[in-house]
Amino acid sequence: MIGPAFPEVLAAAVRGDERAFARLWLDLQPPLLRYLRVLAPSMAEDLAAETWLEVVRGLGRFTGDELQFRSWIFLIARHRTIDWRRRVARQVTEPVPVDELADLVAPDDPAAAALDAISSRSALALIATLTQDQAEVVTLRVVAGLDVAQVAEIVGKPPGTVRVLAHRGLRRLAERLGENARSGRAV
Amino acid sequence: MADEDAFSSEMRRLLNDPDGSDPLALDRATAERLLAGELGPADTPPAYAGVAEVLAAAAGPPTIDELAGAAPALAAFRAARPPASPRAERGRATRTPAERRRATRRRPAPERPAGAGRLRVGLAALAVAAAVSVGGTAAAVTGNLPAPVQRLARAVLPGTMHQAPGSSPAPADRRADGQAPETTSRAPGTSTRATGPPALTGSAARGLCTAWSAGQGDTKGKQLDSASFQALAAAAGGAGNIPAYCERIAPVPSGSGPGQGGSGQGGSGQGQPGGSPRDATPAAATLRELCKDYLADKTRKLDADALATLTAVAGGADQVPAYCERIAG
Repeated sequence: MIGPAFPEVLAAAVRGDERAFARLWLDLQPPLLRYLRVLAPSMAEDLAAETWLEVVRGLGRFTGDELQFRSWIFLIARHRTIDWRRRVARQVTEPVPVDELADLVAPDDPAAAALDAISSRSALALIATLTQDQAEVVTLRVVAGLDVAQVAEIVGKPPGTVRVLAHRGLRRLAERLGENARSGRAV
Repeated sequence: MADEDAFSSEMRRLLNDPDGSDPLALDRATAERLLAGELGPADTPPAYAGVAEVLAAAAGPPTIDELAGAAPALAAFRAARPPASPRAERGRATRTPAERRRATRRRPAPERPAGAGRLRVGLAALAVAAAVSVGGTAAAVTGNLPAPVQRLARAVLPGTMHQAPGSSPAPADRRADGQAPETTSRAPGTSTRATGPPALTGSAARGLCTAWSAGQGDTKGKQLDSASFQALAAAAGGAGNIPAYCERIAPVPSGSGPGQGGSGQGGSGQGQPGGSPRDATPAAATLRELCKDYLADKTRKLDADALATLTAVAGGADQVPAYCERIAG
């Protein structure tokens, strides 16, 4: 989060200040990529680039505070993901499920894994094993830092449903971690 | 759909557990705080300690590879921003034959697009912004730079560079559907995960320490008296603690073996040029050379890559003159 300076940074970016735009990008690209890695692991980078393209185009027309800006960007990312899935569904030859599976089971960079007890990547890979709805809601809450109402608006579901999905997701994660602990495997 | 009812029944199922037979019972308030990252280790139900750890990791500080897609984003931004700037050449689709000849003569690399110089200036700005908003880690600064700058930066901040994973920047013109922006109009939210200044990742901290200790004696740390130095000082808990901190995480090897310290960073050899790290001060030498060029002829003579590096290391374009006076004046 950029914080109190956000309106100034946004205004500067709208005026064309590259440094201000870079600051927005640096703040939002990591959570955006993480969200997209949960939704569409094999396409996350491309979808993030498409999202920024649309953000750049709409920047001058955006009004709102920082949280609304975040919501807006994640909503765009979601739409880009849905579009991509439609494109893929039309081109049945594209081996997407295989790619996604490969992505999910791909082991982390061992060096990075050694550096951090749990890397963000392995954490996201674990979250991505939840049902799609649960994983998306948990990621938007935790990684994007959005509240229930904002997540509800992005995913187009009532707030109560969002709460239930998140709750079930947490419970399932606890079950998974418990299974792993019992079978002696690392997370 | 009566989703609140659905939630209530879920809650009832989880809460109506009088004999404690459900070890994964989680009440709504606790779940909410867990998701918001507000639950301390002491408040976390034991069965959810691992979950809290996973969620914290998922929201952890940015990694280098996550900051690798800056160039396409900046290019898109530059292409779309208002044409009010006095730089006349930006929007120009055509060049005179002489300009084209000059461009090809100057840059033999055929894949380098026109305007790459401007792009790198933008990347320098981005590197500076990274220093400000990501906390000034060397990883953030160097992770954004294009390959030539990466090479230079590797000399300047040995040990910080991961091999950038294959990122696939989307072509800037891939989408042309001109969709209107979806604006949102809800009340400002109240709860967001408190994100403090991102921690230095292990490799970034080691890189900064290596750069810090590259200068010996009275030049020690001179390469870093910018945002990077502040980041290092913050990580160490104060500038005075840097020596102890760096000794702990990146001890200077006493002459044998390529190992950089015991924390198991795989493939760290690329950062260290051969020879004893104690005498090797490629960073200081490189920077001094760059600064000499810079002071001799300001920006004209200096390659944009070099300028970007100086800007990043000095902590901002406006800091470069003072910085160069200090180390090479």
